[in-house]
Amino acid sequence: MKTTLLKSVLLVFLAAVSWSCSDKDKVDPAPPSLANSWKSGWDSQKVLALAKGSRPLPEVYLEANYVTYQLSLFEKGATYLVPKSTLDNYGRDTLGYPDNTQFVMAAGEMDAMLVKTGKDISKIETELGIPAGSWKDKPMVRISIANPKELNLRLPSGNEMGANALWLPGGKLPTGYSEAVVNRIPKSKYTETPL
Amino acid sequence: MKELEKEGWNYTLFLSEDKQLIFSVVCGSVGLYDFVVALNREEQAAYGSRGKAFLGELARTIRENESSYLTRRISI
Repeated sequence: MKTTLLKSVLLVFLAAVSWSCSDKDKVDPAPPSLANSWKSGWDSQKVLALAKGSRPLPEVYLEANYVTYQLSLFEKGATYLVPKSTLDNYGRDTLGYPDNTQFVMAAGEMDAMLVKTGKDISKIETELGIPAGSWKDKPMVRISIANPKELNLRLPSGNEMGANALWLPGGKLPTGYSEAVVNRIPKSKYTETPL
Repeated sequence: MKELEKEGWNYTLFLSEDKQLIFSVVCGSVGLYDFVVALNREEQAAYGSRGKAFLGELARTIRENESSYLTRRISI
């Protein structure tokens, strides 16, 4: 009788502990950091020491969970900025460099950046590392891609036409925003919005 | 200005009213911009002898070494 009572009390106690440990108390694991995601023998300098055109795919030197996490940031869409005059000059049928690449930011990060800068063009230039004055007095357009996975979304290798001397491996701009690459974008896969 | 050559989303070569060759290169990653220079004499000669092949090489050089061309950058 005493044993049964003790067992009952124990069961009630365990149920109470289980109930108190609800999902809301669980802490999401911290996102993987680039610093901790290099595969053995690799670092940023080693990638950058390789000539453009000869750099390996990021999957060669970055842990898979980091790559997966970085790309997950684009699940709500990808986006980039371009002067309207450039769009008018090169056309809207298919966007992107001739090597079948176009760099993109995560839509949420672009939204936050535009709020942060108040859409001040000179401040946006600074945030994105654009040479000062490049966009002065130019009507700008935001290109939005709802489903970048359809366009082979991937982390940049640094071999892309749009990768310049400031490019860093790891899917992040020097200013910290996330970046990825998609294939050239057909007209049916993007929307154009004045900035 | 008169457009002389163009490669889609790469570069455009213009002839200005004062007969300068103006070269506009698409640059940038998550933010695209045009980097524009007037071709110097050597570049004009190279374009004259090699045509679009030279322009493609120059576009790549400018895109990858913007700092070396900053003093020549112009607005159109």
